[in-house]
Amino acid sequence: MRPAARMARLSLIVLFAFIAAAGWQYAVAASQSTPGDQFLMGRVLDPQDTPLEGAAIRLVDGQSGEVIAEALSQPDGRYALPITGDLPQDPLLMIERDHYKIFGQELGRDLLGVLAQGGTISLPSITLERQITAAFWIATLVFVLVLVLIATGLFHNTLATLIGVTLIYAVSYIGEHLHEGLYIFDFQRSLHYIDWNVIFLIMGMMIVIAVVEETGIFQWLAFFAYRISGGRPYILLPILMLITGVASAFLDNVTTMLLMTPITVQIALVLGIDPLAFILPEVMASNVVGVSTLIGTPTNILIGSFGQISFNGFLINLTPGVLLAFVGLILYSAYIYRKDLGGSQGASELLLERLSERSRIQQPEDLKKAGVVGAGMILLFILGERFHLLPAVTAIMGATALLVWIRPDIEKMIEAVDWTTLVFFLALFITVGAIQEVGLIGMIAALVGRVVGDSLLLAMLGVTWLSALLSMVIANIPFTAAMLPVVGFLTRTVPGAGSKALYFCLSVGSAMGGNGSLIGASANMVTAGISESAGYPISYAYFFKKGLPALLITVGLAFAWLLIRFL
Amino acid sequence: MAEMSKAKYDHIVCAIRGRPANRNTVERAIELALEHHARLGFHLVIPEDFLEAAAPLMSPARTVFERLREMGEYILAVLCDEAHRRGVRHVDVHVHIGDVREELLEIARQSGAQVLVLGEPDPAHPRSIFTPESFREFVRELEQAGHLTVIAVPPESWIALE
Repeated sequence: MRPAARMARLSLIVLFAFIAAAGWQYAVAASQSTPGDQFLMGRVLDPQDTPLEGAAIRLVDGQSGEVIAEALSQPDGRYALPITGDLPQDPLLMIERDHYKIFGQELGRDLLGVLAQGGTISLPSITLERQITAAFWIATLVFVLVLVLIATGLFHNTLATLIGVTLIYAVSYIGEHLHEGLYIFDFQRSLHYIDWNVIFLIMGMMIVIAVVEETGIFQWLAFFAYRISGGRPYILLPILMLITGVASAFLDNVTTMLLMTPITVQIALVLGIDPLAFILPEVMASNVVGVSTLIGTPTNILIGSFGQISFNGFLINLTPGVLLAFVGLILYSAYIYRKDLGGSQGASELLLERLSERSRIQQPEDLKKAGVVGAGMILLFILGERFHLLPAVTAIMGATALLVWIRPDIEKMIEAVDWTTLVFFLALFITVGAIQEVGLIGMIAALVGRVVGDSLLLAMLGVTWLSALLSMVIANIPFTAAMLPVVGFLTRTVPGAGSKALYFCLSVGSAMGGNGSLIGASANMVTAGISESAGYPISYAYFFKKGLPALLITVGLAFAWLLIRFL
Repeated sequence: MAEMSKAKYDHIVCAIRGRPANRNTVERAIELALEHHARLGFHLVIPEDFLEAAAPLMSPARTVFERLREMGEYILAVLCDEAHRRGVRHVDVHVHIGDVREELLEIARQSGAQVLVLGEPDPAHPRSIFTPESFREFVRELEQAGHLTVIAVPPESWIALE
C-alpha cells in the first residue's frame, strides 16, 4: 500500500473514533439533566466575558463542608442548582474550573429567605479569574512546536498536529499524576473544541471537487482562454488569472493551482514564453479571489463557522474589495512580466495541436450534471441562511446528489476524500483548544483589547495587517484558528465591531498575506513544486521579490474597501 | 562516473527534471546519441514530496498525478521533437512520479541502457536532495544497480529565472 493511502486509512480510523467519541459525549451530557422545583441559577463567565462551560458549581454547608447541591455550567455559561430540602445556616456557593481560581461566595440572608419560601433565585453573572499553571506553558510550547514542525516541513502537517494532540493528552493524563498543575484537559473536554461544521463542509466539498475535476473542465477552460486571447499573452494573462480566481472562489486554492499549473506550463511552452509569467500571477490571483466566498479558502470556512457569517455575508462584504484588489493585481502582474509577455516567440503549431487534443471535456454528461448540482448548491448557499441551512448541510446534500445522479464508483469517491486533511483539522482544533483552555488566547485577546481600546479603525488596521504579515511566515490555518477567539473578543468589546468587520479583516489578511512569501500559502508551495518539476524553479527570494509588492497592493486595496464599508 | 567515449553505446537514457534547468543535460544526451547512433530515452522524474505541502488538500491525489503526468508527457514531447529534429532516430519518453532516488535507481535497473546521463545537483539549490558527496556516492550506487555508466553533467546553475 502506498504511504499516502496508508496515511489516509489511518486518518479515516482516527476521524471515526472522534465522531463516535463526540456522539457518546453528547449522550452522556443529555442524561445528566436533573429535574427540580427550586433553583439557584446564574451564569459563569471568563475574564473576556465569554460563557464558561464545564465549571463545577456547588452549594456547600459553610460549617461542615457537605455538598448540598451541584451542577455543571452549560455551553452558554448558565447553571441551575436544584435545591431540595432545608438549607443550612450559612450556605456557600463554590465555583471550580480548571485553569481558574476557585470562587467562593456566601449566600445572603435575603436570598436564603427567598429559597426557603420555595422561590427560584437568579444570581448576577460571576466572572472567574484566570490561574496560570504549568499547563499554560506546556500547551503554549506544544502549539509553538506544532507551528515550527509545519513551517519547517519536518513532518506532514497532519502528523505535526497529531504530535501536538498526543503531547497534550500525555501531559494531561500522565503528567497530572506527577503534578496537578500539568493538567490541560481531558479527552471529553477536548472534543468541545472541534468544529464539526467545518469538518463536514470540507468533506462535502471534497466529494464535489472530485467529481468536477475528472470532467477535464480546467484543461478545457485554460485552452479556451488561449483561443479567445488569440495567443496574445497580454490578453491571455488576465483571462487565466480570472479563471483561476473564479475557480478559487468555489474550490480551495491548492486544488485550483494543482489543476491550473500543469496546463498553464503547457500553454506557455506553446507560446515560447517563461511559464512563471503566468503561473505566479495565477497563484496570487487564487490567494486574492478565493477570499470572496465562504468556501473559497479553508480560513474562510473557519471564520464563517466561528463568526456565524453566511455565504452571502462573505459575498456582500468582501467581493467589492476583492475585485478592487484583483484589478490591482492584474495591472501589477502585467507590469512586472512585461518583458516576458512581450517576448512571445509565437505559437508552435505542433505543440498547439497536441495541447488541443488534451484539452477536451472528458466527461461531458457528468459535467452537465455537476453544473446543475453546483448551481443548486450555490443557490442553497445563498438562500440557505433564510431557513437556517448550514453550509455544511448544503455541501453534504450536494455531494450526495452528485453521487446519486452520476453514480461514480463509490469506493473511488470515498478514496477521493482526503481524510488526512480532515484529521489535520480535528487535531488542529484540539491543539488550538488547548491554548484556549489554559488561557493563552484570552491573555492575547486582553492585551490586543488594551492596545486597540475603543477604536474600530485601530482594530481593523491591527487585525488586517498583523494577520497579513504573520501569514507570510506562519501557516495561515493554525494562525487563523488561534486568532478567531481573539477577534471574537474584539467584536464583542470594540464599539462598532458588531458588524463583524474584524472577521473580514482577518479573512483578507490571512489569505492575501499568503502572497508575501513562498511559504505563506500551501498553494504557493504546490505551485512551486509543479513548476520546478517542469524545470522552472521558483526560489524563495524570487517569490518574495514579486510577492511582497503584490501583498501590499492587494491587502491595501481590500483594506480600503473594508474601511469604506465598515467605518 | 568516467565518461568512456571510445565505447560503443546503442541505448542511452537521460533522466531530467524538466526544462530549462536541465538544458545542458539534454544537450549532452542528444550529442551522445548522435555520436553513437544510439536509441535515446528521456525520463522525466517528478518528485511527489512537494505534495506534502498541499495539506490541507481538498483534491484527490489521483487526479493530481494524472495532471502532472500529462504535463510531464507534454514537456517530453517537446524534447522528443527536438531530438528528432537534430537527427536522433529512436527516441522514447517516460514520466516517473515518486521519490527521486528510488525512481532513478529504477531507471538504472530497468532501462537496459549502457549509459545514464543526468544533471549534477546544484549545491546552491535550496531544495536539493543531494550534497556533492552524497551525489557521488549515489552515482556509484546507480552504476552498480544498472551495470551502466553514469555521465553527470554539471548544472547550468540553478537559475531562479530573475
